Amino acid sequence: MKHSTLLTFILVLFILPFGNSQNSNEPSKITSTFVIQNVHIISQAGQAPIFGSILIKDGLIESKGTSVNIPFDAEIIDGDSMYVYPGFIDALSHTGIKKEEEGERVKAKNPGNPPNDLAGITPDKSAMDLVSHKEKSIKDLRSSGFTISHTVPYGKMLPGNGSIILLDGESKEEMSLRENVSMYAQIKGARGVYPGTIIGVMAKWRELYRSAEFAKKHKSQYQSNPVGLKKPSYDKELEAFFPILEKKQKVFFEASNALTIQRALSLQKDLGFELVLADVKQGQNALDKIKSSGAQILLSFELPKEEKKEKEKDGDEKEKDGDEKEKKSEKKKDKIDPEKEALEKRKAESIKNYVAQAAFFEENNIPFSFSLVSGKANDLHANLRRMIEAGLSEKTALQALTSNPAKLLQIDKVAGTIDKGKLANLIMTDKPFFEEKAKIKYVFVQGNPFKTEEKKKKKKSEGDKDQIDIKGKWSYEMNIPMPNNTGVILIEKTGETFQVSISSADDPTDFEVIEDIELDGDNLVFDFDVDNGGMQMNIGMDLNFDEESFEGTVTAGQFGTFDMNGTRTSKDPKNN
Amino acid sequence: MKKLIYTIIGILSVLNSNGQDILVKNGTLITITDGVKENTDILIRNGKISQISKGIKAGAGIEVVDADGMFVMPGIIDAHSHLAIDAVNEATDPNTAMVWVGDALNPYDVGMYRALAGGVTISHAMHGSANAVGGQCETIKHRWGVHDPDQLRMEGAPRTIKFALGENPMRVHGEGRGITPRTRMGIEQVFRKSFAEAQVYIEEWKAYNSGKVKTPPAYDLRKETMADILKGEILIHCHSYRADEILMLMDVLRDYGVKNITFQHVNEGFKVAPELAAFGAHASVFSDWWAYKFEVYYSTAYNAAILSKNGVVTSINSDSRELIRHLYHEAAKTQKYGGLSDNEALRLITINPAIQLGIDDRVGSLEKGKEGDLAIFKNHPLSIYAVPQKTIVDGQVRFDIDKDPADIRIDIDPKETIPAYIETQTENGHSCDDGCLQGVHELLGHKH
Repeated sequence: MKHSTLLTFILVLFILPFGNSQNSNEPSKITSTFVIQNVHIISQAGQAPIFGSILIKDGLIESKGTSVNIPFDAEIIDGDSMYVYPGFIDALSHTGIKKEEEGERVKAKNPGNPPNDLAGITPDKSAMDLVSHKEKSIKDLRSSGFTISHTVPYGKMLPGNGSIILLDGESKEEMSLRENVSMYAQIKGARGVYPGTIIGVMAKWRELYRSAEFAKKHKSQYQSNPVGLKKPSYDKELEAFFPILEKKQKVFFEASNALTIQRALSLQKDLGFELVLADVKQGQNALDKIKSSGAQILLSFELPKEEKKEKEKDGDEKEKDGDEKEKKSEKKKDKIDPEKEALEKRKAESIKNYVAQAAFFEENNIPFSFSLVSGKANDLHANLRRMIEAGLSEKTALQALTSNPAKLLQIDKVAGTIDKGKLANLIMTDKPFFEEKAKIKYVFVQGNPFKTEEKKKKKKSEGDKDQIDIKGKWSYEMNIPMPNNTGVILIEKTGETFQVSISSADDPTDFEVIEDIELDGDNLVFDFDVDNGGMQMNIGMDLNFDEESFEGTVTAGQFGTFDMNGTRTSKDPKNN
Repeated sequence: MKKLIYTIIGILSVLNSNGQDILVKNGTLITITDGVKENTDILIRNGKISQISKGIKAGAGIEVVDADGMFVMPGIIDAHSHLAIDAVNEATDPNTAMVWVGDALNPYDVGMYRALAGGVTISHAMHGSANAVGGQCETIKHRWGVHDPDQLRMEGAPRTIKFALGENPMRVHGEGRGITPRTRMGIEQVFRKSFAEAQVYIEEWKAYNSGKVKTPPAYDLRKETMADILKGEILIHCHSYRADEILMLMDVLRDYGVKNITFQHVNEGFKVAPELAAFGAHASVFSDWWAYKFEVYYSTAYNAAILSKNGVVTSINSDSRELIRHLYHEAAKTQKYGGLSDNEALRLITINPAIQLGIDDRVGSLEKGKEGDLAIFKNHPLSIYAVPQKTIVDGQVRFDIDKDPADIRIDIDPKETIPAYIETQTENGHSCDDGCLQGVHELLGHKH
C-alpha cells in the first residue's frame, strides 16, 4: 500500500464523525440513590481498605463505612468483596475534543507575519466550546477508570485554554466542572508560516509574553486614568495571557522529551510564569532544573514497547555433539551481528529508563500526576504495572491518578478521595487495582454507575495450545466510516515466524510487507511505520484468528484504535 | 533504577571522570601567539591554563597526560557550523532577527563528539542562510556528555547573528514566494529597511522611557535585535560569495555605523581583500570548496592566503559535519595554495576564528589565564599523518582515542528500528548544497 495513500486514509478517518452508538449499559435513571455494599473501600491513596458500604445520593457521597443507612429509594449494588477507589483524574488530555483535519495549507499573504490563527496562536480558544459529550474518547477514558479530565484543544504553539470536565453527561454543559482554568502550550511550529520551527516558537513566546505585559500595564493605566493616553486596542490573544501574568493560571507545557523540557524551563526562567510540564517521558535528565524551577510535573503513562526477547536456542545446540551440529551452530553464530546486538542492548536500556521514570521521580520526592496527551487509555493498567515493577510504589501511582491531579487542578474539595460531600466518582475493581488480572467492573461518575464491558476474547481450553494455521489470503474490513476501509492481507510462514503483506482496496497491488512476526496462540500482533515526507505514523494491528475469520483492532498512531475484522479467502497466500 | 543510572554514568565516565585539573607533560606546544615550545608542560587548573613551562610537578590528584612526542595545540575553533541545534532555518521571513538557535541546542548531537575527535573544542552554531537577516547564533563549547543544553553555551561569548546575501534568500523569498528580495538589490533593501526601522524603534523607546510619550511602543523582538546590532552588541556573520555584494553590505553597515562583521564563505573575498581589510571586516572561508551553485563558480584555493596576506583576519570553517573532523587538513591546504607558514596556517583554525567570535581573550592560543582547551596530536597537525589523540575542553578530556567506545550516543530512541545491517548515513555533503539551507527544502518545493 502506498505510504501516502495509507496516510491520507488514516488522516481522513479523523475528519469523519464516528458512528457513536448510545451506551447500552447506561443505567435507567429510576433513582439517583445508590448503596454499594460489601466492598473494600480505599478512600485515598495509601490508606488501608475498610470493608463496608458507600451511600451515594444525587451524585455526591453521602456516607461511607460500616454503618451506612439504606434509604428506601436506594438501588443496591452488591459489591461482592470488590475494591472501591476514588475515580481517576486525568491531568491533561484532549478528551471529548475531536482532532481537526489539518486540511490544505492556507497560503498566507505574508508568511512572516500571518494571522494568529494560521500561526497556531489561539490561546483564547476554549476547550469547553470544543467538547462534545458524544466523543468516543470520553467512554474510552471512563472504561479505564477516569472520571474527570482536564481537557485542552488540539493545535500548534498555543492551542487554547483548558477546562475540567466530568466524563459523563448528556451535554457538555452537564459535563463541565470548571472552565478556562489553564493555558496549553506546545513547541510546535505552524506550517509554512512564522513561527515554523522550534526557534520561531521560542521567539514568538517571548514576544507575546512581553507584549502582554505591556498591554496589561497600558490597560490598567488607561482604566485608572485615560487622560492623555492612547486607547489600548483589544487583543484577545494577549488578554488570554493576563491570568498567566497574574499567576491565576498555570501554563501546561507539552514537554515529553528531555530537550522540550529544557526549552519550556528556559522560557519559564526568562519570563517567570507558573509552569506545569506535561506528558513528560524523559524527566530524569533534567532533574536538578525541574527541582529548582518549582515546575509541577505530569508524567506520560505511555511507555515504549518492550522488545520481544529472542528465543535462546544456542543452549540446546551446544549440548549436541558431532561435526554437523558444530557447523550448524557456527552458522548460527555468524548470524548474530555483534554491532546489532550492542545496539539492541542500548535500546533495551533506554526502554528501561522510560519505564523507570515514575519511580525515579518518587525516589526524588517530586510529586507528579499522569497526563493522557499521548498514549491509549486502555494501556494504563499494564503500563502502571510496568512502572511499579520498576520501583514505583502503588501509593504514589494511585496519588498520581487521584489526589495529586485534584490538588493541581484545584478540585480537591470535590474530587480525589472518597469522602462525604465529594462527587461520587468511584471505580470498582474485582481485585486490588494494581494486581495483574484486576478488572474495572464499575465506574461511577457523579453517582452515575457505568458497568464496564468485558472484552470479547475467545478463550481456549487449557490443553488446546496448538497454533492456528493462519497462512493464506484474508480480506479485512476496518470499522471506520469511509470508502477504502477494506483490503487484503496475505500471510506467509517463513520458518518460525510469519510475514504479513497488507494492501488497501484503493491500490490492491501495492503491499506493505512486515516480516518476522510471531504468532502467540491465535493472536497476531504487529506494527509498521508509514512515512510520507516526514509525517510519520505507526500503525499497529492486534488480531485474533479463527480457522476462517479474525477480529481485532487497528491503532493508527495517536489517532486512536478501531475495530477490524476479516475472513479467509484462500489457504494459499499466492492464490489469486 | 539506580543501577541503570550507574550504567549510563559508566558509559559517560570515560569522558567525564577527569576533573578540571590536568597536566599535559613533555609535549611540543604550538602556542600560536608565543611560538613553538618543545618538551614543555602545560598545567590546567579549574579549567584554565595556569602554567606553561618545563618540569611542572603535578600536585596530588591531578591527572597527568604524557604528551612525549606529541603536538599540543589550542582547541580548534570552527567559526561556521550547524552542530548541536535542532533548528537551523526559520525561513518564513526575509528578516528573522528575533529567533535564536541557542533556543534549540541539542547536547545529544553526536556530531559534536565527532568534531571533538577532530580536535575541535568550540564551534559557532549558526542559523541558516535562507533569510537576508537570519537568526541569532550561539557559540558553543563541545562539552559532550552533558544533558543540559545550557552547559553547551560558551557563557559570556558575544551575541552573533547570521546575515545572508545572494541566491539563498533570493530563492527562498523571491523565487519561492514572490516577495522581496527577488534580486540582490532587494536584499540590500531588506537590510536598509530593517536598520531604519530599528533606528525609529530606538527613538520610540527613548521617548517612552523618558516620559515624553505615555503609551509604550509595540514590543517587537525583531526590532529589538536589529537595535542591538546598531548598538554594537551583536556581531554579524554574513553568508556571502560575490565581491559586489560584499562591497554593498559594507556600504550599508557604514551608513548605519555598524562595525563588526565577519563575511562567511566569502569566495570572492580575494577580489576585495584590501577593501575588507580597510573596513576591518573579517573573512571565514572554505579551503577549496566551490561550484555548488551558480554564484560560487569564481573561486580559488588561494583565497585564505590572499586574504591573510592582505591583513584580513581570516579563518577556515567547515559548515559541515564531515569537514569539521579535519579542519587541520583544511588549514594545511593553505601551505600548498599560498605558502602560508605553519603558524599562519594554524591561526586560521585557532586565534583567528576566536577573534571573529569575539572570544580571543579567552581561547585560541596557549597562554596563561586562557581556558584549558587543547587538542593533542600524534604528528604535526598540519601533516597528512596527523591523528588527534585527546581533546580537552576546560581541562576535561572529552575525546580520547584510546577510550573511544563503539557507541558514544547519549540519548537512545526507545522506538528506534535497528536495521539488519548498519547503513552509513548520508551527511550534508558538498555535492548538493552547503549546510546553510537545512530545513527550507520543503518551502522550496524540493527544488535545489
